[in-house]
Amino acid sequence: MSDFLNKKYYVSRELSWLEFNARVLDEAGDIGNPLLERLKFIAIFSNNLDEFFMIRVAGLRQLSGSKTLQTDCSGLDPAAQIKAVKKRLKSLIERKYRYLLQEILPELEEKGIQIVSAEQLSSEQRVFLKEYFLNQVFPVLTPFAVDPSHPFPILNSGAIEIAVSLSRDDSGKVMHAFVEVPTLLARFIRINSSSKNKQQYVLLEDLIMEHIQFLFSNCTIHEIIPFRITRDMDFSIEEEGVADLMQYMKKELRHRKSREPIRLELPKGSRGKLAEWLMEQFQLDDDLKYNVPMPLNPAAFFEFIGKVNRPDLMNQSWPPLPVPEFSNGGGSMFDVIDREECVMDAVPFQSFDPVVKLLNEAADDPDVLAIKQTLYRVSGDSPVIKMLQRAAENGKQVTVILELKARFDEDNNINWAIKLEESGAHVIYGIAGFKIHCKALLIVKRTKDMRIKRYVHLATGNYNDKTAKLYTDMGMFMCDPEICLEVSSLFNVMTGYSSPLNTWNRIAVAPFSLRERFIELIDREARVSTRNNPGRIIAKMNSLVDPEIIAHLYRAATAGVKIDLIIRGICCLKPGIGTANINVISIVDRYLEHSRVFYFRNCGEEEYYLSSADWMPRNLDHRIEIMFPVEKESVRKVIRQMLEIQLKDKRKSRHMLPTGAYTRTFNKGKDNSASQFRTYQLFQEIYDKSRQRREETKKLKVFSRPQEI
Amino acid sequence: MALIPARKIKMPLQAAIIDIGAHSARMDIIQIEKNKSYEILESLVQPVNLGRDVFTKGMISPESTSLLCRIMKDFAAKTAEYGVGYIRAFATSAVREAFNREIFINNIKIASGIDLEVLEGSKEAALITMAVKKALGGKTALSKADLLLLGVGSGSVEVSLVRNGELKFAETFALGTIRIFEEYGSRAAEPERLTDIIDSYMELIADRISRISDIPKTIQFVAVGESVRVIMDINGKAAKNQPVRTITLEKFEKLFRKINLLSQAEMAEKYQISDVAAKGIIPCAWIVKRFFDMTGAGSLIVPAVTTRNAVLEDIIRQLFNEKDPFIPDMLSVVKSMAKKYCYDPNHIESIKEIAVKIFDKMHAIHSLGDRERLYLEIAAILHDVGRFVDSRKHHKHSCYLISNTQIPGLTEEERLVVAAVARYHRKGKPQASHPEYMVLPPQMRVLVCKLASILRVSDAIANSQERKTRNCSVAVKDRVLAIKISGSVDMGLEKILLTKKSDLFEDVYGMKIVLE
Repeated sequence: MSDFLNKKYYVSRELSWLEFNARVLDEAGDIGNPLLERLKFIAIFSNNLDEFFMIRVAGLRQLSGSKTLQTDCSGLDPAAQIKAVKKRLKSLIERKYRYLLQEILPELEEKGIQIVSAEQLSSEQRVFLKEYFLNQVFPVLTPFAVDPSHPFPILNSGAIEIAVSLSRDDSGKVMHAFVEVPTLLARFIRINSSSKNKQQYVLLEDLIMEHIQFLFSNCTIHEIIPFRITRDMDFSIEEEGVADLMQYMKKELRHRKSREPIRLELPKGSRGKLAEWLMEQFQLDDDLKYNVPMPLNPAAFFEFIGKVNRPDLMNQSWPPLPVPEFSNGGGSMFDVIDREECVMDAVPFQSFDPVVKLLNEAADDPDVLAIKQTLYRVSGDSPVIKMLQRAAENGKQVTVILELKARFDEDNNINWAIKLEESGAHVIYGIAGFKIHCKALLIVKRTKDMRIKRYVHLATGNYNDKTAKLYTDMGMFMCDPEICLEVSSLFNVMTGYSSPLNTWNRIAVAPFSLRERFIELIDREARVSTRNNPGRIIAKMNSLVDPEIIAHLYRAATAGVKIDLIIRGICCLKPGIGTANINVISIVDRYLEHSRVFYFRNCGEEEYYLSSADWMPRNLDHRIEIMFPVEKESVRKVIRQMLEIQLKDKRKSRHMLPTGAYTRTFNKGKDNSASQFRTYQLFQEIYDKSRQRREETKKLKVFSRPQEI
Repeated sequence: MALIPARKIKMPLQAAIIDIGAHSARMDIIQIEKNKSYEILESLVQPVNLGRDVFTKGMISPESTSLLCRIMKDFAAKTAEYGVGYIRAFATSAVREAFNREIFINNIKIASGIDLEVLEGSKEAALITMAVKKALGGKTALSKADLLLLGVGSGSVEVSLVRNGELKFAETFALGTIRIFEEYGSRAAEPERLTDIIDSYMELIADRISRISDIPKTIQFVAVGESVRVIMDINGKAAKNQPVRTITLEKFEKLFRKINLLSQAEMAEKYQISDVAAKGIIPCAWIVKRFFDMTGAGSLIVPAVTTRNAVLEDIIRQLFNEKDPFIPDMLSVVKSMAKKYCYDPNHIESIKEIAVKIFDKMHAIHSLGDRERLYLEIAAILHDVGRFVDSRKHHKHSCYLISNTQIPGLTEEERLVVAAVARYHRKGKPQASHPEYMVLPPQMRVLVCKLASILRVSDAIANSQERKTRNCSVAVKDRVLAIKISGSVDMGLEKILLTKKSDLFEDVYGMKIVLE
């Protein structure tokens, strides 16, 4: 086994992540994608990269600073990783701006959408913008001067800042100042244009720079440079000393402002005294400075895409389909689950509504005694929160386990926590030491004959109605008493009501038994695999990083097991070393591939599982995660079809090469095999068939009526 | 023990059973069906450290009290999630030995609203014996079996001996798998010291048993308790959910040698068990080993019985108004005890017979139930054990002996009632200067008077019955208790005795006794 831990089998995690982001960038370059979709991928790429700097690069910097020579599974130490990252980034950033500036923005201009610079404005437009600046922008701007009496200000991470050098007309001494471009205001300001079919926009920072003089009266402005810093956000909570996690998080969020800068982005070609002064102030290593073409922070194009509102330049929408079982008019959600025992919803192909509907029914049903739910990332005006609030107000025992440590969403989560508590729900903020990542909903109901019946919904994705439209996830409504019992004990562990009893048989729970279960399943496949009857594993997840699992996969592949891995993001396993049995593909398309699906052939006694966990040490050892079986044949059939569609995708799937690089896809033109499209078709067919059947039974009823009499 | 108003409760019923042991607090939420079957809806467990508090300092620390209050509050919240209609919470070894247990119980009540009862060792042993009998049911012909039952807890062990299907002996000993370390310090972990401690208890146990019965050559060895279950799990995970598991001596010794090589941490890691569970394994294995030696058994039978499900079965019996099935066992143990003190079986039989006859005829007057009838029976069997010490003042010796002997199935309070009833079977009536009387709560004092008065009357008549005839009938009419002894010649002596001993009866019931 230790042989398979050799570094030759592994790809560096950070470099593999960059390869994932490169695939996102490919989508921005894919001429088969509509223009605004391509622009969206530019925004996603940029946003991803920001997070990568804030967490991963920051982490590497901390490691390389601590002088401990820790190498990753591929044998690189932190400094070597930073170097390799920087090298790979160079070409990616070049490509990003090439797509943006040479392809997407010019083509948008042809379609009548234009971002104009100050020089291009007509005098009428200038008048409008000056008005706009004075009324809307000027009041919220706060310039900070830098001089001996004003220390260097704390600049927000991720915000665009404008550095100004100026001198007072009376003294003539050169001073410096900063103006932050407020993130609360629209970054893209639409201006009236000459033609009706033309949309023109001005960038907020351009507008501010144009009118900078208003902020510094009686001064002469020498130079202006917009720039952006990114800070280290890789803080880990030392929970043992933290009595009140909530208070701590609030404090930590405030501290974010002042954390160590990790990246400085300056416009390409910034030279002169002001640029030199800036560099001096930040004292950053050369490899953390980036000279980039304008505009800064392309992640903000999300806002732009929403504003231009041009459906013709977007993907044709695929309205989420109803889940057939729940749309047959067959009574309440509970009745349907009772009858079907197991119902799957696959968002975003299918609608997220069943979850909301179930909660809605539960909130008002007098027989419902308790509702428990894990919430990880909750959307702004979440219907889930509203239902839970109502249920609590209706006297149900509502327990919400809210993970405050969901990165970048902490601010959001704290607000909902307070709201829920006010309505009488019992809100629990995670457990010390473990991030709660499993997605589970448990409803305790009393039946008409006074028995207790429990219902669960377990899912691969969060209870978030917004991401349910963008992330591909699968959820399962079930009422199997054993599974419900096991999920109940999981909730008891999460709420702190009980220590783990280790009685999970049907489900597996990290960090208690999930790693062992995965390894058992992989090893079993290796054990039963023969030449005539080879084993088979299909595993779909976001990231594969865990060295122990990789070693077991390698061993199984060497024993003849055919392994297909569908891994959207990081994959530290290098396929094709010593065995041809491992195939790794990655699908990046309009929806973010997010579900975790595991298939084991088990000599024909096939097993299907869904999980909230990736094969990463953090999921298996430091988080509460869950894996649950899919036992209903009709549901297994659909999952099997989905996996087959994905493995046959020639349009949006990329093959991982033994080097750790991936094949490119965007030149494949009009191939029809894109798996997300085909999956949507699959659910369309399923829905149509069920509707047909329903109509046929309706017709039959009409004919049977005379006989009844 | 509180009786449940059975008629008011509808099935299916959601109930909670909470068990506060020396090292863990557990709760099961169950659903009881009309057909008496049940299903566990939830199981919860929290580690606690009452054992360390009580076994070293004799009391529960404030820290443990506040932890238990929080846990019980959580448990109470949990019961609301299931609309639980009936909660039974009991505490075992640690709490029952803590001198501040009443304050602890009150704190729990205030924090959680839950009434915690202390399950006494004798009661626990009785419940476990019944549950084991039920679990073994079809497996061994228990009606005639000889069986040694060992209950290994973290704070105590219970030992019961069943001969020919009748319980002969049941006692609790202060030898617990974790308690050893708490009482004797970490040095108890040294192999030699550990076996020394265990062996000293084994001598005591063997001695106690030998006073009641010898151990037959072929006997079934049955053990229950969490550590025993863990050992069985290590032996074979596959059989984990079976209701009854067995292991041969040979296999057990092999397994013991294997685990004896591991450190506690290694065991916890290797077998995926908690640290506390790992700590208890070696002492438990030693205790089991010593019982193998004592019984000469070739294998060990482990039924899936816990105190919690033994109590649960008791609750179900109560909910369904069933007769306590332990009564024959209890009477059997009481007789063994009387035998130990060289009783006169004929006298005992006749006094018991007359007492029960009077009790039954007077039901409308005393309105006492089956449980109280049992106290009378036990008092009748044991009333003369004091003669073993000395004939003079033997009623006082009986009282002392009974109140200080574990009687499986009886709570401490019940035992004191029985002792007091025996105490007043002769000589002076209860008085405010009698501590054995005044220690009882008022309603129990009334009970003692009601039962003792019957016992006194029976004692007077039994004396004659033995000598002259066995036929005696009892009737109640117009506030007169008429006792008719047929075939007798001269009733002179009985009449004199009766006038001496009917005083309490007349005081209590305001009735005359006529002997015909």
